[in-house]
Amino acid sequence: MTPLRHVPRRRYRPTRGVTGLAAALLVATTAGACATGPQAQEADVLTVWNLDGQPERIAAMAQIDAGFTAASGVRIDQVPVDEAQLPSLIVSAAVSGTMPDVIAGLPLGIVRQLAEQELLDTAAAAEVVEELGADTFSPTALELTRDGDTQLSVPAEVWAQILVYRQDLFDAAGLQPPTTYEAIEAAAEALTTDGRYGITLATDPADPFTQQTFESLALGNGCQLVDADGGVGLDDAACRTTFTLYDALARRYSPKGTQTVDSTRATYFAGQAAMTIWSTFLLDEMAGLRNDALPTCEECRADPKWLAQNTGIVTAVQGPDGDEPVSFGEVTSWAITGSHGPAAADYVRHMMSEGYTDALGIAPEGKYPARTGDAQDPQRFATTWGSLPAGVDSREPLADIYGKDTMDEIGRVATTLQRWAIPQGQGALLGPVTAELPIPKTISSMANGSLGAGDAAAEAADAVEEIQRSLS
Amino acid sequence: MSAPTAVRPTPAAPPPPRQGIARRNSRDGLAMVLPTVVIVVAVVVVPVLWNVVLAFQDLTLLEVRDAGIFESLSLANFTEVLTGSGFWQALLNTVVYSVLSTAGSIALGLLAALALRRPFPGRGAVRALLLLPYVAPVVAVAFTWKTMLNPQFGVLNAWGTSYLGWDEPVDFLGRAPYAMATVIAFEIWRYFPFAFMFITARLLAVPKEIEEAATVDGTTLLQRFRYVVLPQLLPVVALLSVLRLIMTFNKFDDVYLLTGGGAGTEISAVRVYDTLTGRFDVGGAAAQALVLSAFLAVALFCYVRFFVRKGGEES
Repeated sequence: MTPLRHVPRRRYRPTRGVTGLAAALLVATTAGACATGPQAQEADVLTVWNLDGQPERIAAMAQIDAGFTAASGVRIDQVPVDEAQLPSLIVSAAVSGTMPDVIAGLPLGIVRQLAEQELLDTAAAAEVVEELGADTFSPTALELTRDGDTQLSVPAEVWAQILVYRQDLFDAAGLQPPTTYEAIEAAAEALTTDGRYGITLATDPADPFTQQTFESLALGNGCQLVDADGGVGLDDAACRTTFTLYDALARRYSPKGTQTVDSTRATYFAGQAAMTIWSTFLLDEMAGLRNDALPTCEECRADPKWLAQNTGIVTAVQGPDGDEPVSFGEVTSWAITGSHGPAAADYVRHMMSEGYTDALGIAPEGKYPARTGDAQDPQRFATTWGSLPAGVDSREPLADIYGKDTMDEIGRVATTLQRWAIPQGQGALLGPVTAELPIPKTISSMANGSLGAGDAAAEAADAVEEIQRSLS
Repeated sequence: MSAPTAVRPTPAAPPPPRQGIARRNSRDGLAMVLPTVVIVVAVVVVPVLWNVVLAFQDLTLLEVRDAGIFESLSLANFTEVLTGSGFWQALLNTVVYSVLSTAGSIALGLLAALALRRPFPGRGAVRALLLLPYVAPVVAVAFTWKTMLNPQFGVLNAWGTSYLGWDEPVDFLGRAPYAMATVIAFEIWRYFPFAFMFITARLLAVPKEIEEAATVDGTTLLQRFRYVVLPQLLPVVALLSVLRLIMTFNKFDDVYLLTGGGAGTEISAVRVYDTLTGRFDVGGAAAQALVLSAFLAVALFCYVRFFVRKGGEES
């Protein structure tokens, strides 16, 4: 179906692209017939599945790996893996005994899912964190990658979901910065004019990005996927308020049709929307540092940095039912699998110390250090991060463009970010919810008018409840 | 497979020489079918049986490799599958999807076969072109459809809004009733050549004399079709219905590529896949697959019981 660049190197049949249950079971049959138990790994090769799989990033990783190979003699095999393909690859690798040694860039939801399947060596992760010093990590990042006392993975990088808005338009209209539901809706209404929409929001039913956008708004209103008593909270009053806001924004003040991760960015970059919600990976592109995604607004033609200079950034939003503004973000981890070779822990330790600054430098706009410093200087990596040049075709530190205060605020998200389900001890829900996308599906129906906000909340809650039942 | 003489030796008297030859013959026969039997067992029987076993177990991905066959059997997967609302909705979607696209592709194939029945210059080329949807790679054609149907830059919506006076672009793959209609249309388009081939082949064997006689009797074109041609095509249409229904019922890639199961198009095959890869729920996926094949088996039984026998008696 989809071409996979991944070629397993061990002695079992290569899985050439799993197209479904039949293929997966067939692979399982052939492998299960000839071997049992986790496979012993080759000592001098480490296979790393890397979710940050763009060719130039993999090339940069290979350079960092060269340092580790020179010191240890262990060759690193970087395999770029598409996040959407990861679950099916995991299934076939787990049952056929071809799991990689290490997985890089793993989001929190999948960490929980792999832990649930006992595919992770949590003792090895705990040991790495212990040796590096637990106090050198962001406590929030550690908390989110921990299940009770068990350290599931080694948190590496943090990105935040941010609301970006056109400072110039807000100033001209005398509007408050969009930090509350009320301010967002008022601004969206006021700035929806001929040729411009107040906001552009993801409504793609097939992309977790839609859910991330929703969650970033929901958290500030106290809307939880799972409430304190363990039941699904999507149908509560707080979540209904968020659904109602999303409904109003997406239907009245947004471009028509399905809005995707690319179209929301393109619309904002073209100057056709006054606000959008995106991840911090947007920042270098908005500053004109990446040629294949340049801002295209009228004013940007003369000055590619114009949009960046006229954009305000909000990292935390508060709703009418919320107690305080809340940030949303993602912590990506190094996961050491249960079938890792002897060098895996050393490699992760290397990537979190000597190789760390270089790894953050690959894309600093989306890689805030989850480990802020080391024993000598507790802020070492956080400080260095601020001066790392971002961008692809031209490179420049983001602090020079957005200002140090803004970048500090983005950095603070690493300690303030919140997430659904993990604090309630139901992190195992996140993987299936991300894979089956009940929330994006209902948001999509809501945005095209075939479902009311209340029904959308109820439908999403039903779907999540069914997942919850099947996991118990 | 084996001759009865080989398994019932007569202990009292030594066997006559003829029996020795029969035994050798039966041994040769066994040796000849053995490769086929081994392949069928390895490729079909073992995976299916294993699927059945997995459906009764609740295993993590790692346990699948090591678990014994009769370890911790339970009906939990089935109660979960059968009591969840998602399964029944997906089953309903599958039935709608497979029945409508089977009927549609056969109707379209019949139409195409009749249209190309009389020779005309370039008929061979047109026939070859008609086969294109069937032979083109599914990933490529699904991508083409997605691009053409896109609400923002798709050609269909561009024409619709500028020439047909649509108020706003239609999200063919993202909105509830349209998405199902679109995947059915895709399936009809993709598989009408299959029906077209079968029906064309059958049409070649239809004798001209009866139709000529009917023409002499003064029948209209429609009457000739209804009373002369169609009855002769019915057996092949029935066969096509069964074949297409089974294939579409288990179809996964088309819907997965077009909508990913969103907007009310979650058919059972996609749901099985999601259960396996989204929830890592091996048992649940196997149980759903098993329930589906049970439904299919019942449907097939009904078909054989009520239609095949009747057809056989009539002819």
